[in-house]
Amino acid sequence: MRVQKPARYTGGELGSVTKESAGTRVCFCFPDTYEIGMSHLGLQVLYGAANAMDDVWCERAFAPWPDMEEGLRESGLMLPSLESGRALKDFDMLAFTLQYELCYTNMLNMLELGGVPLRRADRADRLPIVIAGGPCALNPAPMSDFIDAFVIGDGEEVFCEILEVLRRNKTLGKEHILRELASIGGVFVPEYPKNVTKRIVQDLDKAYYPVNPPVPNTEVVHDRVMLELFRGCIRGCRFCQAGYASRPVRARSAEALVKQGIAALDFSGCDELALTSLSTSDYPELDRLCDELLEYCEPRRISLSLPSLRADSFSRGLLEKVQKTRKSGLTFAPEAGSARLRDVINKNLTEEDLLNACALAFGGGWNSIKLYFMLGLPTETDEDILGIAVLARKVYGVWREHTPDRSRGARVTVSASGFVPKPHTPFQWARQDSAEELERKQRLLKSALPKQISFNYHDAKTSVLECVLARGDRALGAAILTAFRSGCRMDAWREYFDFGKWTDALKAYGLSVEKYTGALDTEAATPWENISAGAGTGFLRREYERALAGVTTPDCRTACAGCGADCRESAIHSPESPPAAEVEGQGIRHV
Amino acid sequence: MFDQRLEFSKLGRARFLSHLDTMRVFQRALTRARIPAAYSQGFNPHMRLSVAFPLPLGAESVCEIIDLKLEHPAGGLVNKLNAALPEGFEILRTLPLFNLDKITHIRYALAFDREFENIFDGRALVIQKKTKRGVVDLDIAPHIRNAITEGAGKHPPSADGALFAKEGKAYCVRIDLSVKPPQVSPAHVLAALKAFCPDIEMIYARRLEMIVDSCWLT
Repeated sequence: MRVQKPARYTGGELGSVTKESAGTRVCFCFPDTYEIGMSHLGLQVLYGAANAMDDVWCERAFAPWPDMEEGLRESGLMLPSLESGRALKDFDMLAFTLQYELCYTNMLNMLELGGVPLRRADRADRLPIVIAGGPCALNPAPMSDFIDAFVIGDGEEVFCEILEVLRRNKTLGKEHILRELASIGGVFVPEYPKNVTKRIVQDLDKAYYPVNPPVPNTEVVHDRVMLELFRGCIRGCRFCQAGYASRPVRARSAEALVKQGIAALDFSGCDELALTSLSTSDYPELDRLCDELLEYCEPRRISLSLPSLRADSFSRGLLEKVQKTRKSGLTFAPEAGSARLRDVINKNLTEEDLLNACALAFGGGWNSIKLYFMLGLPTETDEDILGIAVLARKVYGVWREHTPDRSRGARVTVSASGFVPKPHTPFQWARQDSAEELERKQRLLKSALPKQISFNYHDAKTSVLECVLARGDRALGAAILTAFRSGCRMDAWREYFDFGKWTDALKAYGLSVEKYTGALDTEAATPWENISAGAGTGFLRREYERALAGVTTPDCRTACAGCGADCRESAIHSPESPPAAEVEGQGIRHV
Repeated sequence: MFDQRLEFSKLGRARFLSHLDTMRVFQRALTRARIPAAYSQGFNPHMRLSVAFPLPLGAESVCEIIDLKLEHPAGGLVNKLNAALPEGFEILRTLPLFNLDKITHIRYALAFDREFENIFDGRALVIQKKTKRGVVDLDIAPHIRNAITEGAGKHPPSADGALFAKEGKAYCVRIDLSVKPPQVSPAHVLAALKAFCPDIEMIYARRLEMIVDSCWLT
């Protein structure tokens, strides 16, 4: 068998775990390539937490690239785990993470290649138990035909509880185990449906952090140590699923982060440390944290990177800190081109904030800035889209004015993705533009941008499929299976995405794209009604109404909007700033 | 600045790591082992190390050469590095510094999945070789030597899962392949064999020795 990049499949990395004597065998399955999966902090956390348990061995498997799939099918071999080479069908449990909807067919492909019947009805009497967590589990409906149990919310505690149930009940049969799993908080078992509230780890300092994860031998997407500063987000951008579904805000202490970061760097030998979270600059002790980490990183040539910075909190001090090590490009996400539309989505970012941040960056020697936008947001007009081009031109103008060296040239990139209404957000009911409309908007923006500014955009049909799968119901499962059978996989990869096969599959079951992309009735039940992710439906509905009226909602530190997430006052407010009072005239109540 | 040359082996699943990945593995291991590696100057400094004669992907080796530049000599280097390297890599010894141009051939053990005629008897072995100028015909016979065919089963494929190794008997040859232009690789030997035995496949390759003039390097 000859495959590209065989190092994807061989394992044997430093930090990979072997526990031949363990009685309970689980495989953590990432339904995309090794390079993407190994860049995912969640995999490292759950792999480490599970392997810290007695008598449990957690291995890894990734989606094979189509050349490997072909090789496996031709030779009749089954998809194995990396560590022991055991076929997936021989595990007690397969634990998938569903990070994005377009990997659903990859998950089915991994099951099939691993010798596991796809539909749970076809494997009711035998192991493995197939569980899935991650953002897509927040709407279990479309994949309920295939997955025995969904894990809602933070995984590090509940995954271990699930494995403990499996370990103790392995011999008692699948039905018994599933009943036991259904009684664990945060676990949704489609066979025994009930309302489920997501799991929250309140004290992240006590949560498991992987200081010795497997270190890839081959190049992966993000080859770096990741520190998760906090979970949740105080901001409330109305399109952002992570922003609402990972509430409440909980931060790790700077002490714990410094200790964890140094330990992980020492173990891995990585030359990059990334401070990750939904909005890194909202971390209360960011200055102190950066200083202490830089003290370790600088002499060792380790670069510190801060993705997810907000333009309105990008300060000179912060700039100097990230400048001390290697200089990568900067990315800001205004999301919309006009102040009006930014109010609709509650981005709460002014043009002045953005241009100031760019001036600081260009003045400090950066010459590459990327601006993220979304096309097709609710209430968007062509004027809003042309506003993106105006804003990008202004950013380019700021470069001309502030750069110390014009001869080096500037790289201003506008990147536009299609808006996808996601469950558990205020926009969960909103309609999505058709692919044709999104494509027209892409062309409009492209024609308005000067040639000095590079423009890239997501495939519109991909965004449409993402919406269909994200807001899917139980009826969609059969269509997903049919699309997979007709050859769909690696849907997130342009070279393999085939929208025609998807529309055919929907048609075969009397379904259509429009059924899922149209506006939803805000009073009717959603397919994810039984899942409580933190923010209540009433709050989301209120936020949607405010959005359509163009009214912003302040961030959680300024005033509590009463979303209903189980948050602790102390976690929201930084030590420096006292708890804010209610903002007058906002019409917001504490709940 | 201090030059350090090491000999290492790359065995088992590590044979599927490319040349670039091998360099990355060493960079990581040097950092982990806190060995004072020297960095290049410039905007994007990188560790100064080089691995001689890139090993074909899929081949094992017990005679790889890596040259490191260190800020100063490091005590216990071999042990420290071995503790920091992943599965499949082992530093075997330190080597003296000599001009690598003196190496003319590399000795390989190659294993095939079926019996083959001993074609390494001086006859012309013309294969098609890809070069920068396109595909050219090349007679590899003058650039290979000391071929010794061995009976079945002397070098069984390493047992690391069914995925990459075929089962069954292996038919082996020990052979010295030129590293001077035109370089000859195990894939070229396979191509030469296929001219006589179209279905033959190579199931295993291992570098045994770097050969200086006609003497073995010790």
